[in-house]
Amino acid sequence: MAMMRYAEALNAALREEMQADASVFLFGEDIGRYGGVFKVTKGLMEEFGELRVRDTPISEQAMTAMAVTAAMTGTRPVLEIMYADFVPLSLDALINQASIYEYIWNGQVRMPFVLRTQGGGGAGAGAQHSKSLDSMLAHVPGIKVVAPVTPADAKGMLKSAIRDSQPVVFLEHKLLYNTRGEVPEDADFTVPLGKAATRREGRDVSIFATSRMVLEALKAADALEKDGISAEVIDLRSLRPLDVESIATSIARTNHAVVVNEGWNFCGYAAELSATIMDRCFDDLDAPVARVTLPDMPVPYSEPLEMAVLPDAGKIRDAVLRVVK
Amino acid sequence: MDATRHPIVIDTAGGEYMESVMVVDWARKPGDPVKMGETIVTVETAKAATEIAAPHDGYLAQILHAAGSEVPVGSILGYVSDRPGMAASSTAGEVAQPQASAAFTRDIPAPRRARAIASPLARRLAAETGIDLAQVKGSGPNGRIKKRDIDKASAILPKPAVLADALPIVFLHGFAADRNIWRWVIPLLRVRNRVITPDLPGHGSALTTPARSIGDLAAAIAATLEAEGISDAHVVGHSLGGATALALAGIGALRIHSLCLLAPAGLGPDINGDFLGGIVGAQTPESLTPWLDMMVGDPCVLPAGFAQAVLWQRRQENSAAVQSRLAAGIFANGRQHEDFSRNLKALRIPAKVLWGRDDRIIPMAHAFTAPGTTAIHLLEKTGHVPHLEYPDIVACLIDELVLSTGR
Amino acid sequence: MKNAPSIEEHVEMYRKMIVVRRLEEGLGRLHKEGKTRGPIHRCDGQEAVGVAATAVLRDGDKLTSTHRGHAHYIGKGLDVYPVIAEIFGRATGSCAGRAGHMLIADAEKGLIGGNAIVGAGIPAATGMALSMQVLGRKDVAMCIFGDGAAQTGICHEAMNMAALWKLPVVFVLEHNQFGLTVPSSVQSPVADLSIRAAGYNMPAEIVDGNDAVAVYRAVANMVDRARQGLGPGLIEAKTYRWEGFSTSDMGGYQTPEDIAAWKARDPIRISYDALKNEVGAAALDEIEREAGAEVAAAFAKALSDPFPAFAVPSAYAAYSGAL
Repeated sequence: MAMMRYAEALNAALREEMQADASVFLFGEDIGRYGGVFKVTKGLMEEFGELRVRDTPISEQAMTAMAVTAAMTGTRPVLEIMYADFVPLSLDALINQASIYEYIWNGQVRMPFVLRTQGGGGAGAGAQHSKSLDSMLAHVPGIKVVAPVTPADAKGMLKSAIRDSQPVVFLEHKLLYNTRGEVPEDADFTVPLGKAATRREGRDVSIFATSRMVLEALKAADALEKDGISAEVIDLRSLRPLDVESIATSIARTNHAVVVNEGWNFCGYAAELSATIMDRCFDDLDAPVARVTLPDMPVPYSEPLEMAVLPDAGKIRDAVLRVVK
Repeated sequence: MDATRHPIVIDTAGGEYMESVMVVDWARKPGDPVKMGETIVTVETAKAATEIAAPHDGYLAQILHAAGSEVPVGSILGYVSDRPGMAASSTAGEVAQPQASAAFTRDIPAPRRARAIASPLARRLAAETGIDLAQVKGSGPNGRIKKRDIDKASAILPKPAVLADALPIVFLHGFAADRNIWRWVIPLLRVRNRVITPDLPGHGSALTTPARSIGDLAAAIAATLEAEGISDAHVVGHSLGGATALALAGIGALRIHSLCLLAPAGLGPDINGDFLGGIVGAQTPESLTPWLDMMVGDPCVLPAGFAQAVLWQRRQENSAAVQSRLAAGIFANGRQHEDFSRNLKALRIPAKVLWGRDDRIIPMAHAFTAPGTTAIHLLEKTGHVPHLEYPDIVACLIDELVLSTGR
Repeated sequence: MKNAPSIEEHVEMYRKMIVVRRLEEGLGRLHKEGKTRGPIHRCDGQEAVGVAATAVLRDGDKLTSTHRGHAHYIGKGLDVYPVIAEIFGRATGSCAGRAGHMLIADAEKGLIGGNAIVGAGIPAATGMALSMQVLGRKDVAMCIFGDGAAQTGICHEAMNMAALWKLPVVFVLEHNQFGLTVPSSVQSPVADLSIRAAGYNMPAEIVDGNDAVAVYRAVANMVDRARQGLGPGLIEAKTYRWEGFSTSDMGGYQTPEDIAAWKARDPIRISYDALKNEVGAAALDEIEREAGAEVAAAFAKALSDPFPAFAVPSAYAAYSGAL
């Protein structure tokens, strides 16, 4: 184990997988000479050369489409899209290309590529650089979507994503890159995709959160303890496939659910979670599921405005108090 | 207490109460004025919704089965009273709530909605523990019933599903009746023990089983229960069925854990011989009705068409001759020839005797032969058939007896 | 002459063009009888582009196609029978009935694949070339695309990166004059779209798209360059779409004069005339007869084949929420 920043854990995962497999290559804007705007790819061009670590023009549409077909023809591309806000440019490649081929071509092709991107607010980046578009991505069948929150998961899940035979969208968060945690240094260390993680056990309510919201949920759980409420916090680090069993197991124990996602509310990922919980856990629910999300509006720039719209521990606590009432 | 109660029933015709209905909506709340013929409650079978009309002008006095309850066809759903200001019988209020709690007051006005507001979990738990959501007060937002409310309720009420060794309750009907006479009481029981309603020899499905004495009746019942593998039970008996229950206690084949006697025979010599002859001999509704009226404290409690239903069934079964012979054997000359009060005194189990103060068939005074360990409940404005006249009170008292044994 | 096809290669292109033509004609007939499903995009009159461009490729080379890809499919080596079975949604189709006529793929033959998002095949081939470069393979990727696709933004992005990185990809612009119903002149300020190649520092050549030999030679030159690591090239093959955009096209926007003029330059006839002296009319007629019989037999067999049974794709976790 080593104490590492989240960005360093990602860097370690990329380095290890590139060392282990010559078909893994990276491309994206500013990732080579500069080492990535969040320094995730720092030092990799020096180590692996320009053929495998490639700076690109600003061409997200074509880059994503190219990742799909490069993956079909023998390589394992890892594409960095600098901001999740730019992922709409990638959507044709994800929705009309990557998502369909394994099925409509009857298993003739596999598409082992990873699209790394980062989203979320809190850094004053404004309306075009602060969004979480999780639901837009997780909506698409045939691609996996994961969002690790701890440095250990960042490393373990990125390694699993690179080794996966299907397209994986790997969602990072700009406020997580400098968080620190213990990370296994073993090159065989991976974290399987598709499994949720219980970050805190509780009896009275289950808080299901994604990405950075897991940290806010843990803060809320601390506060709720003083309110006499024992909150369980489940990290839904795999948005798709979703670990429905872990969700159901937790709700069977607590009978109350609050779902937290930094994306928009309407048709959002939290809405999908609520519907899934209704489908699977209806008879275990003692109260309606509550959602804590971004309001349906752009992320404003000015700090007090941005803080007003972002979900946080206080809003999560309020939702829990409403639900257990 | 002088007001008259008119029962609101679904399909009072004879026959088995196989089918059940769901009470969907009460169009009135207790205390509201009602007009005869106007829709007072809507019920739903698997097939369709049926609107039930008020049986009488007056005021909705009491709702026995709130919206959301499932009840057998033939149940009394509630009562219409002649007078206002009688939301429920005071007798019911005093006697019926041995373990009363705010959560289980029967007289709370039924909300005007088709189903209780309850969380899915509360709904599931209520179904599992046999708790009627209509009787539970919700503590959640918007009055929603939550798990904690069900937990609280089931801490007070029996959790029959939890009582792994709950004993069956055997109901023994009276002379010239049959097992269907219990149809009003049984749906009102809170305990969910299995119920067994055998027909006495010479009655209903046991018409051809020979019997000349109360001992014969008890022996036949003992044999029936033994064949079912029942060695322990609670017993409820009415009139002749009460005497049969006492005889059954004397035989000792069945271990009786509680005994509830409704105007039982077998505790004294007096009985209305004219009634016995009249009730068996009547051939038309007009000739039967006076005898039926004599049976109850207030004729209004008899559901409309009751006499026709009784006659129709009697003709189906051709039971008059058999029952005349049985009466001639047991109650010759208008006297009871067998006395079982010794059996009652010998019992060391929770026991109750219920009697209508206006009983004109067997005098209430026989109740006082009961030993000091037996509770005596004397019901006002009640005749010989309290289970028909005040099924809610009778059900409450049976609940209390069964609960006191914990089985 | 450098990169000219051999007689045998030309005969094979001739045969394949006839297979494609009979396929299109058969589909037209069955559409009129109401026996086809969904729109079908015929390529009558432009067979030489797809057949000759792909004749240059090897099995390891990859091809991306369009929604009008029948000549590309047959050119890249697919048998006509599984193609027809796929068009009729049968279990025996190239993709077991899952893809339909616009999206056929055969990974073993290097066709991956048809693509009905106009322009999407351009970065698709470019991505394959990127993969080949990273892996150090000597294969090339080819994209056949139309004059409509040339107007997409992604075309620019892909060509820019292809040329920037000298990727082994060959762009074959099958210029059939129309994007759906709109003539190319209404879609682009330039008649010769290949002049754009200069903006990417990429060689380009305009050829007669109805002359299989001309297409073959031009494409072969670009494929050679790409295989040598010299980067991409663009061929603009001028041709004409005889039939409408699809079987749902009501027509009326193509002039009879234009159609007649282009039909007079039928690519099959041009190859026939070129081969007549070398091979003999009788042999060419026999080839035509055999090709027609092959297609007729394929139609008969495919139309009597069973439909696929639906199965939930549960094997794929990412599809697991599908039902």
